Amino acid sequence: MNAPFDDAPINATLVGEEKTEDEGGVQMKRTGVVAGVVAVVIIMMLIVLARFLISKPSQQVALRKIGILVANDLRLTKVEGLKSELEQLGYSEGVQLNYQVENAKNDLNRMNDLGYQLVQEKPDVLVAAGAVEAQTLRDLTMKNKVQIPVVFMGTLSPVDIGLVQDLSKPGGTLTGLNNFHFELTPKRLELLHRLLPEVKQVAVLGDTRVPVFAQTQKELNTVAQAFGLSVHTYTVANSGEIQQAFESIQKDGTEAIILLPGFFLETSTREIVNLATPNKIPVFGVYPLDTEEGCLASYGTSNREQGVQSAHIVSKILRGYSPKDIPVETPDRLIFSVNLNQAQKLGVNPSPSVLSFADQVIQP
Amino acid sequence: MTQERSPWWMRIKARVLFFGILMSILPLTIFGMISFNASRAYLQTNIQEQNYERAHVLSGRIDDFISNMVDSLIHVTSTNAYTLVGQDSSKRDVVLGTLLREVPYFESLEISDSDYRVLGQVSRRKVILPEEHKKINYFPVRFEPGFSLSEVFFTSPDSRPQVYLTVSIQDPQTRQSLGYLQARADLKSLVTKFTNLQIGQAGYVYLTDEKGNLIGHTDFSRVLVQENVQNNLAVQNFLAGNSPTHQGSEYQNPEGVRVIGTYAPVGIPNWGVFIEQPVSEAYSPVQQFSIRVLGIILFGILVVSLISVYFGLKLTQPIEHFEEGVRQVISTENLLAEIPRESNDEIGNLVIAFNRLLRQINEKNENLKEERELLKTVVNGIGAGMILVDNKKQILWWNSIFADWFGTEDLRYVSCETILNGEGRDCLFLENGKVLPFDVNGERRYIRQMYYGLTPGNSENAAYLLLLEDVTQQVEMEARVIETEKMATVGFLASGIAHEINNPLAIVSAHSEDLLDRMQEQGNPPGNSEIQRILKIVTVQIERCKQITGRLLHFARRGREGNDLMDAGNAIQQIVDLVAHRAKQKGLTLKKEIEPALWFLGNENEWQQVLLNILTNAMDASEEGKTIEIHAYQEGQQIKVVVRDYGEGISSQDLSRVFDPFFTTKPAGRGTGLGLFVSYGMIQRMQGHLNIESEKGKGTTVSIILPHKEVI
Repeated sequence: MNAPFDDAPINATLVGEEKTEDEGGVQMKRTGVVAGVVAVVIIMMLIVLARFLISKPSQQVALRKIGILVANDLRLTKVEGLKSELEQLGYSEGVQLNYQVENAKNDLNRMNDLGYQLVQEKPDVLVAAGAVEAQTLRDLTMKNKVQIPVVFMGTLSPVDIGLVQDLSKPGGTLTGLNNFHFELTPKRLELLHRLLPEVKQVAVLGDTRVPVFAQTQKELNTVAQAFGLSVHTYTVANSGEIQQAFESIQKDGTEAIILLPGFFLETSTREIVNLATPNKIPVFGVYPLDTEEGCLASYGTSNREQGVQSAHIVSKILRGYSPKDIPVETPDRLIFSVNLNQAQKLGVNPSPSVLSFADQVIQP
Repeated sequence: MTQERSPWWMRIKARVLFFGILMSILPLTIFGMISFNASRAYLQTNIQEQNYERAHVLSGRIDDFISNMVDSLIHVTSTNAYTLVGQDSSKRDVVLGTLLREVPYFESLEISDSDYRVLGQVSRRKVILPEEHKKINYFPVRFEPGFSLSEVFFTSPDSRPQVYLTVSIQDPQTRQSLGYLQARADLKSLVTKFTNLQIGQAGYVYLTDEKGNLIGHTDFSRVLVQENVQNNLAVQNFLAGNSPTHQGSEYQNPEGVRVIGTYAPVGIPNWGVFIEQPVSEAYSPVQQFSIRVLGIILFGILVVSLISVYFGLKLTQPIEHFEEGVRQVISTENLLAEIPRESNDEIGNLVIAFNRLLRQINEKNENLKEERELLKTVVNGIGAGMILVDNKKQILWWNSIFADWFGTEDLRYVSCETILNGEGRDCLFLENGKVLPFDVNGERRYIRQMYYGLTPGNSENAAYLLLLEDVTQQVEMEARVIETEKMATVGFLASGIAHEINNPLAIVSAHSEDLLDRMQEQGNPPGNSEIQRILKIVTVQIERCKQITGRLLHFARRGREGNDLMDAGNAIQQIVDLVAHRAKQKGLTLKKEIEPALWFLGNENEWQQVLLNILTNAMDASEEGKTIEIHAYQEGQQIKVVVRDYGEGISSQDLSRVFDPFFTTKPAGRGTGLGLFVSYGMIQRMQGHLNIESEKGKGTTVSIILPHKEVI
């Protein structure tokens, strides 16, 4: 019998929820979810906070590496110019940049190994001090299939020696400075003529290993003909050949010597001057340094200037520009240097009208 | 009743935490955003102004650069006019050589006469061959102080940007033109200077001529391909001659990168220097600032939120514990439980109040239990069957009496009609107080059915309380009373009937004796016709006696129970006939006026008894010669039967008691005092109404109203 008055629980209205195990589990699960969400939010906040706190160190510019290959000590001047100008441009050594310089000390057989060491370091930019270094680095990067930009700090005719496809649009991983030394050879002959108008017999000392040697001859002959000069070319590749050449020069009645650009000749200037001076033969050099070493005059860009100018190209690459789009540059500054002390020794009187143009004059 | 636990978002803790966190986030966010926006605008303006200043400085440098070169040329021409155009070439060469040496930006110098024929020249790179006779390129003088400037061109093959600067050589005395000094100026170093200017990591500088042609760019390859920059907004502003503003313009460069560009016109020459920097980079300080502000805001939010959460939890914990305690009390039903007080604040007071409330509830509960026991005892001892039914008449609850009567099996949700079935027994609850016969435990019992509508919303969801009262004794007693009254009436009538029957019997007796006497007489025996006549008379008189006794027997026999459809007038007529002789004896006149077809539902025997009681009372109250009027008629849906006498009437004191049992004003032995009492009950069972109006000394009117039943 169902009788509410018999056994009705008065406190039935007070009977509330009886927490079953399932409900307890749901409650615990829900609490867990809420706690999880709160924890995730706090962790995210801490991550953002941590990022905020460590954002200062991350603003530091990463130290970037420059690998430089140099054939001899002479070309270290280019490296000095490069570093100096990069410093001016805001790249301090040890702070923004780290340099690794490998010097072959005139031993061309070591070039490849030293270049390989540089490539292995995977620097941001490879820098070649001259043509031989550039060719070495070009071959190494191609062989190892690495796309490290290579900047050459002055070579002659980079198209002719196979460094770039086009001066305006190099197209590859190499770009740099055309030191214009080949193109200036006829200008040197002109300046020699204007400096010493009485000289008619000119000997040209060149290195056949220099790729544009033959083309130089043609240009020289054209200019010599225009000025009524007689030009005779002697090829030298080593010290012995210099001796032999001088024997011929003496016999041929040579009145002046013009040096062609090249790795061997730039290291043999003093030897040549020493052979020419006793014979009263003035020598017209390439680098301003040649004048200091006894040449009567020289016309070309200095090694330091080449380094300085190349620094701007390196800077562009460091800023993200591709070497294939950076045109090969020509020297911003050519230096006409005259050694009047040497003129006195040689007993010649350089023309005053040309002297006015000289940037450097070494007084007696 | 179960209590649903509130969803977590509805709970005080969630709300307090939400509110606390919201209040931590909102003000800091709003304040941070306002500060951030103001600072960002300031930073952006600063960056734009910085770029503008750079462009302005660069344009000034170019202007100075050109001016210095022009000044050098003008100075040389003004101091060496005659030498430059004179016949002495060596002197001219000295001047030119010196000038070339002094101004490193000059690539070559040429002197011409006033007819532009070249008189002499020096060059840094080009070989000056003898006997070269040509004319200089003439560019009309365009700028003050008297010089002309060619368009920028690029040398081959090294693509060095160069221009021709030409100044006139004037005779110092006559101011006549003697010729021209033309310098080929190399802009490479100038361009290098400004293109190497660091504008962030991705910013760049470029230079256009007055036509918007690109003549210098940080990325020189763009100059070589002569990239079209004329669509750049800054270049367009420059070409339109608009003044540069400190606020840079944002636009997409030819590469599709969104940049902020600003520019500064050089003046002389009419070139423009442009600085463009990707918006993403230009505003990187803003982004860094954003991160810092965001970090500070988040840190603030974190700290304030944690504080809010801590205090929120601390605040709501006692509430949660209190709720848990309440749930514990509910689940264990332990009203003696004590929830511990954790704090001395309002919540602590609430806990105390709740504990006190628990004590009171417990006390009330005990009282209720006692009352329930009492009620239970009453309900089960009331002697009546009780059930609660819902709207569908399904039994929800029943008491022990009901169970005794109708079975002890589970009756819950059994239809009321299933139990209380049979003729006239319904659960429609149309007639309250209806007495119905039931077979209870093999005995016939009379049970009065009473129902009470209950207030909706009660705990059992019951619609009616049905009270079944065993009135068997009452019914039987009532039946006996009726029978007694009826027998009393029959007895009362019997004396009248005896008188009435006496006349025909006397006639029968007289004629019988007469016939016997005449048949014993010799000689004059009655003939057959005479015997037949006398026997007819005897037969008629015996038939008359039979009718008289038949009427009495008809009245006196125990009628069957239940209601039938009947005509009220027939019964009236029968009763009038029954009492006609007595009325005649008393000298009363019965005047009746009865409409036909006065159909109604009722028990004929009872209806006759009612009429007989009323007419008997009227005759008893009336004196000889008085008239008793009986009027039966239909009025609307009602049948009215009015019996009016003009007798002694009833006093007002007695009138109020006339329906009481055993109340009579008649002399002892003349009335039982049950007539009107029984009649009243009978008329009520017929759904009718009995009313008596009387005035002492004037007579009495008895009105009976019955529901009319249409007969189809």
